[in-house]
Amino acid sequence: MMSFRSSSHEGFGFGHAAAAASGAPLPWWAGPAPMLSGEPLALSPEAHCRDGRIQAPQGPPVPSVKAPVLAPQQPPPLPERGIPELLNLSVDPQGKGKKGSDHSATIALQSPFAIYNAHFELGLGQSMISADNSYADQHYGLLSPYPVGATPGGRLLIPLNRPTEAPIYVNAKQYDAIMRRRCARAKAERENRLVKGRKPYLHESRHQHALRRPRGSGGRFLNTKKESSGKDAGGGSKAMFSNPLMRQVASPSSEIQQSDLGNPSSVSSLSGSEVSSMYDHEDAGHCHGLDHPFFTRLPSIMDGGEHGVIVGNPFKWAAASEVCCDLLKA
Amino acid sequence: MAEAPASPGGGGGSHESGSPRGGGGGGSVREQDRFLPIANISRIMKKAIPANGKIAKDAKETVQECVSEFISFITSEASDKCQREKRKTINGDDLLWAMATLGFEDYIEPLKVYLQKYREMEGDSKLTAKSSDGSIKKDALGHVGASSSAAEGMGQQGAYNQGMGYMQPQYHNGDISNV
Repeated sequence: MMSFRSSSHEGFGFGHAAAAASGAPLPWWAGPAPMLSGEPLALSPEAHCRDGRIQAPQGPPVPSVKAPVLAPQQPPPLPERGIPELLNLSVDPQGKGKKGSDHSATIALQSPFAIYNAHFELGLGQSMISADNSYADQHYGLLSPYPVGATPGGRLLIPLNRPTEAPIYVNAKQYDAIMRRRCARAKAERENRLVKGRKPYLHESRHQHALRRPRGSGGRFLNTKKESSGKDAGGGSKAMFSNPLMRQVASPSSEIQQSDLGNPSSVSSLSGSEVSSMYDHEDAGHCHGLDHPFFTRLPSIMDGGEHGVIVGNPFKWAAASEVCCDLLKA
Repeated sequence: MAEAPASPGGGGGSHESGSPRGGGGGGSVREQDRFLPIANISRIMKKAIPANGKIAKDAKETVQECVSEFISFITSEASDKCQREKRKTINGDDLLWAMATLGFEDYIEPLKVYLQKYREMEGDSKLTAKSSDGSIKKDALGHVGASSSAAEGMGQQGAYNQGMGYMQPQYHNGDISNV
């Protein structure tokens, strides 16, 4: 334990090249939380952060220009908190991975947050195992990149909250900020400030209004003037609408979007016929992929609004026929 | 004719509910306080796809979370710098510095040009918080994956919050489709 701790300290000092005292890691880690919560900030964390900021740009000889690669993935409700962290990370194997391990070990040892510390303990276990296995390699990895000075885009190993997954390497410049953001998200989650899942609609009254609107075959709203005109790509320059026209255009879009959100959940049951109608549409969507017409509804309305101002009626009907053809194809 | 009275009422209700921003500790934060409006993000994503292309709903939600986290990422770094320098207002230069510190050097050059032109147009009498908002707008125009609307980053800066509150009504008035 003592040897591992001293190793972490050496790695930490070598990385920042400014922290000489053994107490430096604690202020560095404890600093972000008070900043985020708006509490008064101590002096030593400030000095440490300033030193870190000054040293960070000069540390890597070749600045890494690559932006973080975002992995497209559907956000399920249970691991929702992990998805943003993954999305902000960039995978690039480099010799500095062990240095990242030291950072994670230091952070885990000094972390004041219980829940976050629990998450880090799992990662710490992995780090300890790897450290015990390759102590000399760790030292060699730490020393070799700096004298050469030609390492392109230094990467740091960052621990994940799920130990089963492989560690992910991120941009060295973003390591501190990613850790700080993780603390902020964990704190917000503990204070119950994060919204779990997504609500199908934002306003109850609008949802009720959308449910009460009459719908035609296929689930679309009736009595919509904008719906008759077809969808067109690139409406050109945006025209200035007057207030009444803007309201007329804005409300249908919002209502239609709310109805799109309301259909999958079908939370409220205002009337049996409407609920049964929604269920039928949902089943039809699942069987025949009817979601496409729902998604095309909003741009159709918006383009219709623009064309209502620019183009006359005959073009509307032609565009409507085109939309019908598109619907049949889809 | 019958729907005419209902639509303005709905719009007014949305505007009223949108203006007050409940936040801070205690109660749960609403979805519109944590994410950018998904309609604006969808509109920007549509510019990058063919005319007959379609975007799935989960794709829009994923990009919405990505851009919202990116804004919090940059704003958190800029906020730390402002706190170290005992300043309360995050301006455009702070965001540019934060992007350079985090490795987004490619963003600096176009955003500097945008910030310069923005300040020339708006004049020196405007608030610096507005410059920050303009900087984020340039990010939206220049790169795919950002959104051109009022930024909803961390709310621990008082003046920044006031700037957001001031921008909010204009945003509601200007935007056609309001989530």
